[in-house]
Amino acid sequence: MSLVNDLLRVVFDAALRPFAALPPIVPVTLAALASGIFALLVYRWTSNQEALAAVKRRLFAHLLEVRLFNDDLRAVLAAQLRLLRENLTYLRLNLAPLLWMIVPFILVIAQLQFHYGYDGLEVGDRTLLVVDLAATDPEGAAAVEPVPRPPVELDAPPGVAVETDGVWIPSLRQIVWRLRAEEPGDHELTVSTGGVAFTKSLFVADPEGGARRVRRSPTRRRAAILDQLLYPAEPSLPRDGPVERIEVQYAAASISFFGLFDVHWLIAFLVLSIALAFGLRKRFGVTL
Amino acid sequence: MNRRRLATAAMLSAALLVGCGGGVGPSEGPKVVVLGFDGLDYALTRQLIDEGRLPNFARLESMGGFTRLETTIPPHSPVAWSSFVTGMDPGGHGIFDFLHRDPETMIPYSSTAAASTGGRFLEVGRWQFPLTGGDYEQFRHGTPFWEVLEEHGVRTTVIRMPANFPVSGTASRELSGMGTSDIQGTDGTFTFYTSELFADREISGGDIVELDIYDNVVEAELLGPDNPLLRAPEQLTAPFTAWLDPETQSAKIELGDQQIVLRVGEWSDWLAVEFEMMPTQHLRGICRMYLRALEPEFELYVSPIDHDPMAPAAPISTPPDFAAELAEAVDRFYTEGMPEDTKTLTEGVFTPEEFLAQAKIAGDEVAEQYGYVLDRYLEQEGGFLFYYFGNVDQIGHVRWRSRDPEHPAYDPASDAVHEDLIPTLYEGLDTIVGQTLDRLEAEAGLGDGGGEAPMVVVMSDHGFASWRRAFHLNAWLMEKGYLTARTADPFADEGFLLNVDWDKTRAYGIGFSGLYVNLRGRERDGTVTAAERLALVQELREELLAVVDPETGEQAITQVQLREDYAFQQRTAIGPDLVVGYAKGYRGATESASGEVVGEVFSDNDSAWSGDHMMDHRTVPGVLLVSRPLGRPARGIADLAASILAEYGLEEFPTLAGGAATGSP
Repeated sequence: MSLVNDLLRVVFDAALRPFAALPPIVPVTLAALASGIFALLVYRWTSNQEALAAVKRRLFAHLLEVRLFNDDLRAVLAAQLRLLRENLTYLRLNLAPLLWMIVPFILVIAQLQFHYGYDGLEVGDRTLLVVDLAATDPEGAAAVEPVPRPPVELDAPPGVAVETDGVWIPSLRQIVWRLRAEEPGDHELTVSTGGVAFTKSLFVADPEGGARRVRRSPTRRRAAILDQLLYPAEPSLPRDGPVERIEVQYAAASISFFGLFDVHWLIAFLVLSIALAFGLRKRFGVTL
Repeated sequence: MNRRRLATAAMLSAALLVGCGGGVGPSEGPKVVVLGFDGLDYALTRQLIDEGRLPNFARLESMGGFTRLETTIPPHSPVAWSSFVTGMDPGGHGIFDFLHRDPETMIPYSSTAAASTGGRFLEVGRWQFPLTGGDYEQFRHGTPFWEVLEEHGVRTTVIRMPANFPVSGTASRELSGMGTSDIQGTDGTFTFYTSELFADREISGGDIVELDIYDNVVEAELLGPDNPLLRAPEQLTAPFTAWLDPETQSAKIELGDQQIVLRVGEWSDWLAVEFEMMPTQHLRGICRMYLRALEPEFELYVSPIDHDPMAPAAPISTPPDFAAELAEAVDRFYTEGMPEDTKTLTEGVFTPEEFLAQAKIAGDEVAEQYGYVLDRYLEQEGGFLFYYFGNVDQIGHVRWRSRDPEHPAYDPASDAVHEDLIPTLYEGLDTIVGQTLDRLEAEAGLGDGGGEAPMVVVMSDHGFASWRRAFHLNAWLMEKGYLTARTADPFADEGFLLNVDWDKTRAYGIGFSGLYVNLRGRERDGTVTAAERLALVQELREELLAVVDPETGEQAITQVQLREDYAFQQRTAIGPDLVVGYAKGYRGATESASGEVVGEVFSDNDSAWSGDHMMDHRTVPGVLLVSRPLGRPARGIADLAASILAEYGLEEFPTLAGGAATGSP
């Protein structure tokens, strides 16, 4: 999984770099177009097109049945039962292509989320660096005795100021620093504990640079499968290491939908994917 | 090009145009900028100019002129600013004091505005759903001068005009000022969370919340208004958690989805607060937090929760999204009318230094926004700009005694270090004036042989004086037999006129300068007939002017005005029968202003609130500085609107004299 994420990061970074200075709706629209075409192709190859066409014809026939025999209660009820049955058949026929599509879509969405889902820090902005430590004490020990402050160090590069000492929260096994962005750049923070060092990226946008939409990774987590799937923007932390999670807070972003209103990029992406796929279905000879 | 290609092209064009904004259209008339500095005192300004500490004020004086600006009777901010706005005295605009009273119920109320929750509700179980919207009512009458300008095509921007909440809706851009409530509908109610035992006490302008700490974790709630969607009153709350780290003297605080870290002595940025009225409905506000201490007791101050300018639930700006525009351009900001939290000092919650830090945050916000507003204004070809600064007034109220070693509460240890505080604040305003002159002159291209620079007017609503002695008007009325109390026990007096025996009372005081006759047919339990009234007010005036402070031997009241003396008479019926003007150094006691009756007639003012202006209006004039002589000179603050309109060639506006005022400049 790590290799897949490493590869996808490179691919998406390279593919989206030319659009970094453009309004995000442009690359999101292009990604939706590519995803829509991909979905149509997968659908055509993995679905039973003849059976789908037949089911749609029968659905239409039963709808007509309801309309034509609306004075006959028994006929209408029977037609509605058949409509229900055909709907279930339609869903069953869609299941296979959906299963084929779900993993690629999650991978794509996860990658795009880290390009368009977060607002970057700007110079002068503050954020928190949150480090969750792995439980090391025997179960129940923390409830009896206070957990001592662990030896955790934070090294910040020039351009990032550490404004506070780490606030230790024993009940959460968490240590938190407040940072302030002082210079633009893709900075690397280093958290050290138990003789091991872990890095975390911190992106500070350059207001002069224009390249505002690049990958931002708010969280780096342990190498569990689900976490790797959902948080692919940075390499995972070691599964048995002393740190469970390192997080930097970025504000959630919205994008302008063609200047009409602001919306989360994912909504724009899904609406456009569906609309474009629907519009192109005949050109690709696909029955939906 | 077929229809489909046309649609695609349109979509791509729209995509490429994202982010492009529209320009500002032309506006008519010359440019006039009025800077309103609340509480700028004439004598102190003169002194500081002469000492060379206000070079830009001096620059203005040399360009156009500097004079005292007569304030209103009484010289209260909402009264004076309302006179500025309408050109009328209180008899015309109907604002006589901070407090008025309803003669039918004898209940005091804010003189400038009130909120209503809406008329009809659909009631379902414990819920009630408003069928008609709630509203805010502005009590100021008369036509704002900017409305006349707008009617003549002059674009106006009016920022933080006092007594203009809800906003008039008639300026091109408006932001409400003094009189704007916080989200609870008060003038600003802070909350102070502490782990100190038995700290819970009743204070003015704030709530003290006592709480427990377990394992260095604090679970508490921010306090909002009552839930308007519930039939039975129930206060809205928003939970927050604080994890304390005594070793680093800092804490992590989580409010909603926001997390912050504060060290002891630090202020947070603005935090968004959401009060859930029902699962789909939220009331949005903003607050700042100040972590005062972790040891020996946990102490956290939370500012009054203000309307979120990004989505205000009250009419604070014109157009309605202007507040959000300001917030996006600069940052979220205090939307309450008087953001300097003076109650923290008068109630002993903050030290002077802590209060000054809070007041600086509020003042810096106003100054920063001014830069943005001035930029936008300069994009126009003409038009009018008013911008209000209240920092000097509010800080002056609670720190004036640092300039007065004779003040009864003067403390050499804590006050002497602030001796130069107020002059320093004046210097800050001087910098604002300098920036304004420089920007406007540069825009007019004076250095390149350009035309005349836009006009700049600096004005204040009143001056300032030390408030050493308090006069308890209702106690005096009782002593003289004009008023009878139900109980003589000062500890049993709840204020708000509840201790008045109305059947045995001929006159009473409410507000800081107002004295009312208990008039039959007007007051609920009136005892004085209309025929007796004039003789009574004459008698009261004579007696008040003869009042001598037994401790100092000084005359305590130097001016008493009858309501018949106002130039405008349309709304005198809601105002006091007499307006009391105290001698310099004296002021109506706060207790008497809120309707308390019993107690001593005179007392030392031992409060942090040591500077004031609610005195004889002749002793506390404001200032007027202009960058060129006014075509129509203004003697008093009520004349100034007519003078401004005259700069645009508009002559029809009410003035106290009924025509052109006299004086200089």
